Amino acid sequence: MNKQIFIIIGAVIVLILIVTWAYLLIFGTPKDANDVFTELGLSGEEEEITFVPTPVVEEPVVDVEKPKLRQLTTKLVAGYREVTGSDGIPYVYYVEMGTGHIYSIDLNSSVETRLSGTTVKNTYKAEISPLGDYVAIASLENSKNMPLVLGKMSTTTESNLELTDFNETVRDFSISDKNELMYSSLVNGELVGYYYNLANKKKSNLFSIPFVDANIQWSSDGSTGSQYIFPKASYALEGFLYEVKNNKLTRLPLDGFGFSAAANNEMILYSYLEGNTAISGVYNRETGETQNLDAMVLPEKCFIPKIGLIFVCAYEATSKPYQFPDSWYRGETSFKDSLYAISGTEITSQLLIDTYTESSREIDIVDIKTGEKGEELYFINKNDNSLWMYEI
Amino acid sequence: MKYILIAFLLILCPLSFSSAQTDLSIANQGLDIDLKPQYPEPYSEFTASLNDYSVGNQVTGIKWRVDNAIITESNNERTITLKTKGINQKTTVEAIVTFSGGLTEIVKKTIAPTFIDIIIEPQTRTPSFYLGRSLPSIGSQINLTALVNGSTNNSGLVYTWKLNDTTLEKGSQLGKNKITTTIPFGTASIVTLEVSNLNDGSVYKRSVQIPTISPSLLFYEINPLYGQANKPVKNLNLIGDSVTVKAEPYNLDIITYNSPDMLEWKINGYTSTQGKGSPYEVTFARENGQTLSGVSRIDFHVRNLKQLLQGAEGGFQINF
Repeated sequence: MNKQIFIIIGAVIVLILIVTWAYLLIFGTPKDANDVFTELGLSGEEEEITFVPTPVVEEPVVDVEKPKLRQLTTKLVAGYREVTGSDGIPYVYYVEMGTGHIYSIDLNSSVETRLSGTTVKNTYKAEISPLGDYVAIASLENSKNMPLVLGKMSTTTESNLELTDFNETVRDFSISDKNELMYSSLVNGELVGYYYNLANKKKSNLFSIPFVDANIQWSSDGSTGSQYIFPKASYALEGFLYEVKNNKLTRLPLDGFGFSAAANNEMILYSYLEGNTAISGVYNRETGETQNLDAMVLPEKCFIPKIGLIFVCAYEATSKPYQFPDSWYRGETSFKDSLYAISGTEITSQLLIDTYTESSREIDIVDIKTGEKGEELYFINKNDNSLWMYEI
Repeated sequence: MKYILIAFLLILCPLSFSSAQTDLSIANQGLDIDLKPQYPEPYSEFTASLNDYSVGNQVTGIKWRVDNAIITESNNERTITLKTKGINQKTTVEAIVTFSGGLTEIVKKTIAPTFIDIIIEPQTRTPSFYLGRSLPSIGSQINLTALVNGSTNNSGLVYTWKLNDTTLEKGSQLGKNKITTTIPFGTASIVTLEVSNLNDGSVYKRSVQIPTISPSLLFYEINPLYGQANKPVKNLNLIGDSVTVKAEPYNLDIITYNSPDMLEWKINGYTSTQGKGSPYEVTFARENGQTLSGVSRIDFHVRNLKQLLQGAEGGFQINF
């Protein structure tokens, strides 16, 4: 009995399930969303909800990624030097052309500070000592003999620059790593070189040469180093290279028309004209051998380190005009330079940067210097005297 | 007969002696070593060539000996190429010449290389900022300075200067390593210097060509604060109220530059009156309240009327 009742109940349940499934299959498709989702509102009215996005407050982001090639200042620069501050931060000190005002640029923050607002009229060229405590400022007037002003900076505050007139006119000058003012003056038709200790103000003779139109590469070692001298270059006149050391003038075996050179104790980079062809070469001072470079680089556009045979040159692969380098000196020719590292032993070059592609500016590079770490190159654009930096 | 024989011998002996001497002297005079360049510089290549003008004897063998070492690879070569040593370090070059008759003769040349530098400094005008050397123009003065091996010590050195074969300074002078002369007419001049060393008797000679350049003219803008621009102007835009321009004659004789017979500025063909200040500078300024715009042609001319080739002229356009 019980068994039959259980079978009947089971059959009824199965029947109900089959009927339910069939109903849902035929009539159970939802017609709209309300058939699917339950209205959970408290009232029966539908409330329209406007979506208001929650504003995301973003912290201002400063792009600290500086370009490797950058212009350091918009001012015209008469002379500059990298100086390490007492706080260990590298600065570039520079003197503004025309005014003689002195500025420093913090290379970490790029903040520019004026160190001296004392005006030196017609400032044309300036040199700064390695610690930034001395400055020499020359004015260019209607003569190649320039009046010179010496300055002593005791702190970085504006009021602490003492300027004194240097009572001689100079043809050219530099400040060595030993705080010596190296300069040349015209004396009785000869060019005399002197060094002047900026600390104790003592002056001594360095050399005397019987010609005046001389280009001098002053040694960063000061009076104990070698000074290299050659008559100023011209395409139509011959030049010769001399070295002065310990007050002795020595002829080096390099010469030629349009001759120009830059040297250290191991090598001499030189350029000259052979007919209408401009040639550059490297003279190895140990072996006495010369090797020509594939391209003509002008030594004035190169940086030769104190030691070693690897140097940096600015160069544009373009044909040089007939009256080279005169036309470049006159400003009629200018270049869109790239920077190359050149090995003086293997005579190979490596492109560091094409400044025109990188900056879209025509940068005619002169006065290349390096930072203390050797990882930065600084240079002046001859076209507008602006100061630039390239991080290698 | 005895006296005739003695007289015959007396006449014949000198003749035979003189004949032997002549043979020898012909051979000596006919052989020589010719150097190119004639006075090689230190550390430079030079060629030594055997010049053989001997008559009658045929050269059958040549050996070259340099500093007492035979250069076997140059046997029977007429010319060899060598390199000099350092300043005044001597190289001895010998040619050992064998003639068809078996006679051997040695000719010798000693090379003591020397740098004779002639530095030319034209006394012509270039701007203060110009980093190169000025060039000579006709009628301008030049300073010539000689440096022997880079030394400024001239004791015992006699200098003879020539300009286009005309001896300067009225002849040789002891220690005269610096002279001033005037560039003559022509496209180029040749300066020749002969230096004789009284201490060792050596003589050196060097010639250089000096080109003659016509003066040229460029214009540069002057910024009252920053000074003279590096790049010359050809077309100038007057952006502010005024602009100052300087005419820079290149390679004009300094005497003419300082006191020219003729110097004039022209604006659109009309001569402008000279203002105060440098005659080579001119300032263009808008008149108060003027708003006109246009283009003007500016011309400049400077010349020495006694030496007409000493002059330069040129112009540029100013847009305002």
